[in-house]
This record gives sequence, structure tokens and C-alpha cells, in this order.
Amino acid sequence: MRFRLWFYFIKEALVNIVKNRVVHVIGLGTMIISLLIFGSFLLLFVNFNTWIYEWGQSLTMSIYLNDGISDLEKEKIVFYIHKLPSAEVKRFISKEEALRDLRRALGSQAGLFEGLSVNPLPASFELAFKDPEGNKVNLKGIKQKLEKMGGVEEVQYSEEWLRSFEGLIDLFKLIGFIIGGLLFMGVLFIVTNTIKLAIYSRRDEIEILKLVGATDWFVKIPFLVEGLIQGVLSGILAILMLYCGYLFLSSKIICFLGIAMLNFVFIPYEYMMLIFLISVALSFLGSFIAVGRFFDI
Amino acid sequence: MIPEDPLATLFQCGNTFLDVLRTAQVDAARFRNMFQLRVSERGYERLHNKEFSKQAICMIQLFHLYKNFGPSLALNDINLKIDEGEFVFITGPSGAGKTTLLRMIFGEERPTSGNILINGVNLNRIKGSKLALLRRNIGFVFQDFKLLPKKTVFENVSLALEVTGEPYPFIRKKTHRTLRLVGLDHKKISYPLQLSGGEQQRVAIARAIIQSPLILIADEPTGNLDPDLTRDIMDLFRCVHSKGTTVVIATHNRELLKEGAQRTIFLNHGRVAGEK
Repeated sequence: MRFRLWFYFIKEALVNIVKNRVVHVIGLGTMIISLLIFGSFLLLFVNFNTWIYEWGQSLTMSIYLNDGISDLEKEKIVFYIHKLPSAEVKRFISKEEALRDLRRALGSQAGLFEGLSVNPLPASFELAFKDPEGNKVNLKGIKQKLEKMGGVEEVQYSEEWLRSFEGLIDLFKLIGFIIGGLLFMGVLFIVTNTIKLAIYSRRDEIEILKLVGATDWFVKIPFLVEGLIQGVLSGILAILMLYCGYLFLSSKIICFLGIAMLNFVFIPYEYMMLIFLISVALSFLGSFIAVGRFFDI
Repeated sequence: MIPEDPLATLFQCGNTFLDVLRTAQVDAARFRNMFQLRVSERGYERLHNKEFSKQAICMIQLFHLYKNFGPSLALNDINLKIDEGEFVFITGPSGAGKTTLLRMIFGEERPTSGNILINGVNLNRIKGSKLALLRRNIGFVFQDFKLLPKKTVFENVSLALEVTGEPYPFIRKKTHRTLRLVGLDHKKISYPLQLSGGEQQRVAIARAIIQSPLILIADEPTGNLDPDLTRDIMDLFRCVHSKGTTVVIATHNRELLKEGAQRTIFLNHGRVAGEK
């Protein structure tokens, strides 16, 4: 098609947007909100996944020791651990250190321990497993073996908790899909409606254009371009707003926790493209439905 | 009889002569424009072919045309043949079916039964983009003008060329030329509502003829105009007709029918009641 015609189509679409700016701003706002909700879900999903992956990468195991453990028993435990593939002793926490950590964690409530004559906390080894999945580490077996050794009071590891967390992520995914689907239907309705209103407000002009010999596509294309512009704009704005929200939230979280315990990341490039493409595709589809319905009558 | 003031009379005569000259000049300009339009467009080719074949081509043919609007019969077995280059009036009382007939020739209404052939093309068989292309060959001057109030005169007229996707310099040139032809070049940046009824009518005509159509259809073009303006408008139609365009005008203005010796078709209750 000729360049001049495209110039005409884009000009018409822009003029139309300016003329019906209220309708367009409302439509754009609703679209952005819908995309933002979807984007927030994506953001949470991505971060949960990252955290789980990171925790999965380094499973931890705590071995609590009896108070009266002998040095020999301790050596035996350390020797056993060193034989395990991919495991390493992160640190040994003595009874005093455990108490100090607990006091620090309790903060102002630390006064509870003032009258304590004996330290009730056990000493422990903190273990970390690198890539437990890849190395096929049988955590349950290790736990059982360790608990049979002298001087070990109890062994705890994070896997069970992790499994339930992964189930939660699946649920989260499902909810995300359902909400996303509903939102996309909403977006589709909004765009269809916006373009219908635009067509309706120009019905006299359309009638005259058709009477002087304009083909259907000549009349339709400016409305499709209008929908596309709305889609592109809302896609870009939604991503920008999501990023601003991310910056704001991540700074808040870091302040709240004192230290950046969790690595809060933004959605990757592919997901940004996904949001953008969904926005463009939906608005194009919406305007397509609108022009189709209007002109086939 | 000796005039009381010979000088004044002479002066008056001189003025009249100048007026005649001026009119002639305007007519000459119009003719020149017309000729340019004809040479540059299909009109030339059409004329050329016609001269050689010496045979009138049938432009509009209606066969057993019926049109129902619900229970009422708007058109009842219309059979009509209009040749290329004819100038035809369609007349009859209100509700006789004049407008319906014109709208059907234009493809705006579909017949309940019967066939319409425009330049050999059956309207029943075409739709969508083909119909659009056909309409580019038919100029229609609507009873209510159908001008866009938010577009200027120039934009209203050029709209008919915009839809063809012609390059802009061509559109601009031709719009100017057509506006000059209808005598509205000086009002090109006005809006339709700032114009008088006669001027709006001329804008509508300019839009109808800018594509140099094969057929020009006008529905009550002199409906609310005074006799002088009516004459102007009719001159414009004759001017277009002299280019080779087939002109069909629906009217119930008796004065108009008396004037010329054109073919006149009388409609009554949706039937052809007579022909002159």
C-alpha cells in the first residue's frame, strides 16, 4: 500500500484519539490497571521462583548437639559430613553464640533472658548442600544416620517446608492464569468498546466516505490503527509503572528488613515483551472485533 | 423615444456590455476547466470511442425493479433505460419513489427483486470493494447535501479523492480546479455551516463531480433555492453534462421541467406513469 495512505490512516487515528480523548484516557487507564495487575502477578511469580530456586540451590541442615558432647564425637560428626558430596559445614554455633543470636533477634524483648542461670540453647552445626537435586542427596538418609550418632540431639532440614512452598507456587500460577485470563477478557471488552464509541462518534463521516466510494478497509484501517496506538501506549506505560512500583517497593523492603535478605528482582526482558505483546495483540483484536461488527451490519 | 439622460444610458449600456463580457470570460474559463478535466480523464477516451462506434452505450438499465419497505411497495415493476450522455429528469409527487430509485442506482438500497445494470455491471452481483469502485464512477448530490460540518469546504470536496489514495498534489490541484468550476474557490477555508444554501449545494456538486464520474445523480438539487440560484445550479449540471456525463435529476420543480426539452420520466405510486 502507498506510503501516503498510511500517513492518512495514522493522521486520522491520531485526530480521532484527540477528539475522543476522554474515552481514550479512560480506556487507556483501565487497560494499564489490568496490565499492572497481571504484571504484579508476574513480578511476584518471578521472585518467588527465584527465591525457591536459590533456596533449593543451597538447602540447609541444622544438627543440634547434646550439651555433654565429647570432642571425639564432634570429630566423628565433622568427619562424616566431609565425606558427603556437595555438603559443607557453614559454621559451628556454640551455645553462647546461639543465645547471642536469639537475643539479637528478639531485640527489645531480650530482657527475658536476664534471670537465666543456664543456657537452654543447644550448640549446632549449620550445613549447606550445594545443588542437592543434581547430586541426588538423600537428606532423609543423612538425617537418620546423623541422629544415630553419639552426641546428636536432633537434625532438621528445610526440604519438607520447601516442598509445600512449591505447591503454593503451583496454586499461585493457577490463580495467576485465571486472573490473567479474566483481565484479558476485560481488556478486550474495553478496547472493543472504546473503538465502537469512536466509530459511533464518526458514523456520519463513515457514511459519507462510503458514499463517495471509500472501500471498507479504507474506513476500517484508521480504527485499527487507533486500537494499535492504544495497545502500544498502554503496554509501554504499564511496564514503566510496574518498574516504578518495583523500585519503590524494593527500596521499602530493604529498609524494612534492614539488610537485603531477599534478592528482589524485576521481571526479565522476555516477560516485559510478553506484557507489551499481549497489550498490542488484545487491542488489535478488540478493534478488529469492533470494526467487524459495525461494518457488517 | 429620446432618453432623458443620454450619457447615463450610454454608461448603462457600457456596463451591461462589460457584464456580458465578464460572464463570457467566466464561461470561457469554465469551459477551459471542463476541457482540461475531460482531456485528463477517462472522459476523453469515452468520447473518442463513442465517435468511432457512433452507437450510444446504455449507461443505466433497470429490469422489473421492485422494492418493498415492509408491507408498502415503494417501486413497482420499473423498467428503464438511460443512455450514456443523456440528461434525464425524474419527477412525480412526493412518495412516488424518486429518491428510492436514485438510491438503488447508487447501490445504497438493494432491490427486493429485479436487476440494475450500471454501464453493463449488474449491481446485484457486486458488493464490498467493487461497490466502492462503482461509486467512484457515480457522483451523487444528496437532498440534504451530506457535508461534514467540521471539515472545511476544501476538505469536504477533496474527501472524494482522498478515498482513491491519489497523491496529495494531484488531489489539491483537482480540488482547486473543481472549486473554481463551481465558483467557490474563495470559500475554500469556510465551513459548510458558514455558507448559504446555494453555496452548500455547490459544494455538494463539486464533491460529486470531482472524480469525473460517468453518471451524476442529484436528488432535489433545487429544493429550497430561489429561481436565480436554481438557474445557476442547473447551468452547472448542464456544464457537467456537456462533458459527456450522464445526468439524472429527481425534482418536482415544474419550472425546471418547462425550461428544456430534456427527457422526463414521470413516476407515480412507484410506477413509471409516463415519459416525455
